[in-house]
Amino acid sequence: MPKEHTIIDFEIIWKKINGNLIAQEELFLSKWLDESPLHRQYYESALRFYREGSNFIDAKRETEKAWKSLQTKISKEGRSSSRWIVPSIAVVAAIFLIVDLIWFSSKTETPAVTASKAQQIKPGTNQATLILNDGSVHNLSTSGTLVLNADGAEIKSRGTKLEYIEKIGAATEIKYNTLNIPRGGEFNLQLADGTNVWLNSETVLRYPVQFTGKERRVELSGEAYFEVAKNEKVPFIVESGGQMVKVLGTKFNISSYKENHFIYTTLVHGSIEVSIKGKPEIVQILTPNEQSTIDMTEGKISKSTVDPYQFIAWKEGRFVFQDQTLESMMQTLSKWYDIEVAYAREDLKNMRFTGNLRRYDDFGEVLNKLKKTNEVDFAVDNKKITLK
Amino acid sequence: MTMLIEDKILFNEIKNRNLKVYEALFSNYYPGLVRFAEGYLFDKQVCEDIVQNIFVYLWENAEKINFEVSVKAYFFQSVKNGCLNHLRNLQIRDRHNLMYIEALLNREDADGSEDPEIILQIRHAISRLPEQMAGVFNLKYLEGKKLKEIASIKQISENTIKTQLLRAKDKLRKILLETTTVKFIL
Repeated sequence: MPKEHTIIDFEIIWKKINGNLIAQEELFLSKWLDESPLHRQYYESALRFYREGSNFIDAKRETEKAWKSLQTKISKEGRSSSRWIVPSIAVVAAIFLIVDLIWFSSKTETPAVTASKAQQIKPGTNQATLILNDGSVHNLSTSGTLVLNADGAEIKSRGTKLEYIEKIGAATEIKYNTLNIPRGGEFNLQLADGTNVWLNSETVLRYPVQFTGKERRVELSGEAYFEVAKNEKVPFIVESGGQMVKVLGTKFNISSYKENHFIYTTLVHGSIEVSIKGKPEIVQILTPNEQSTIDMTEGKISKSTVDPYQFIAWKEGRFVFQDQTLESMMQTLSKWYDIEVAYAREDLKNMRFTGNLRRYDDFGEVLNKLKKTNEVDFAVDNKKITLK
Repeated sequence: MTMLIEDKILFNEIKNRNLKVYEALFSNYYPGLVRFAEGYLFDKQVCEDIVQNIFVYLWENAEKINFEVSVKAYFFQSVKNGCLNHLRNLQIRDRHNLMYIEALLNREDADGSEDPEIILQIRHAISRLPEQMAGVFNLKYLEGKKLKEIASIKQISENTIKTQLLRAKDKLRKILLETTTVKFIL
């Protein structure tokens, strides 16, 4: 589907941010911005950079992290020409979806018709619905900037992040707000105590507006990454689908989607206690780089050591799959891209993949990479994907 | 310009899959390259991807590459090309080299010695800076001196130098803004 593409000189973007544009230039900029969300995204990045500076701050740490990531992408054995191992549909076969390969492959490839339909499936965006204590609803995605004084706090939203600033004054009763993230959405929330929460697609968080009393208690359904503000006197408790996590001040990820009967809690930093609601005798303490798994059907809790990056990569704009089944990968992807997935053959569900994908790529990019493995093909019908 | 023997040795080690040398090069150049890329693409994630891609390509294709320039130039040219490619796909071009200048200014080890045309542009803009700022700026971006050296030459603290450089960059942006406005109208 050929789109009319306007080519803009960076000078216009630069002048818009650092100086002034004449009317003609403003029009041109608007036209270019409207042509693609990627254009808008680029503009936002430039704006952010000129206002706040670089995000690349701790050079040593960033380089170490990058080196780790790089090592998974290069082959260290002898110079074999077939670097990308293509296994048969065998038991545990790791297939590498290398993001880089696409960058270097010839751009003369014309995508198949089905692939270009898939290009129209866009990645998630910042979307959320806020429900106040009295039940009134505010759509944060369309309203852009929002400033409210309600339930004992000043509430501000700027399109990607919702912030609570506590108003001084004794709260007579605890008031709750609820933030609802739909499929294809994500949002950032800062609570009144300074705790920062990243919410993934299909997630609901219910939380008190003001933190008074002996504990800070929130309820989660879905997936969220928490950076809890330290307060040793007032523990932070997250309830999700029958699990309780008690925290003093720390960083962790909880994945608790109702359709799975497993709840995964991954600790990055600090210390947390995981327990099952109604079974106070079962308490598990996690230390960093540990992950707790609760099997809700059996009421059993277990723990393992993990590299947490895989489980929090979503908040850094990536999907990291480590020897994961296609079915589980598609479950994650379908929430973000808001699509339905069907399988022409049952055995496809158990194919395993390892890969590192960008969250903000169009779904078409993801499908292209899968196709390159020569193991999976697909058909696209609107928002329904059939794998075959 | 003939290659330094050190660079020839380094490239040969990469061709021979010397992981230690590769890692050393990566640790040494990565931050500078990402910051350079930020002058073009602003988004840290995107910049890191591009730089990492270049390192992967280097590792996987070393035997085939004809290295004719220094290691440093190879990396920076590759990053620049990668960024321009990315920008082409976003329908952005940069005829006034604003991005290149910004990218150079981002690098801590920047010295414009790579591109004579850019040097001219920067020199012209610098000539319009207040004298004191111009002095410090020249030492850093045209002569490639380190902060320590500049501090001892000018007999002022490194922190003061840093502040002066920041102010100089801001002023330089404003000057470039004026000059590009003129170009546009013409």
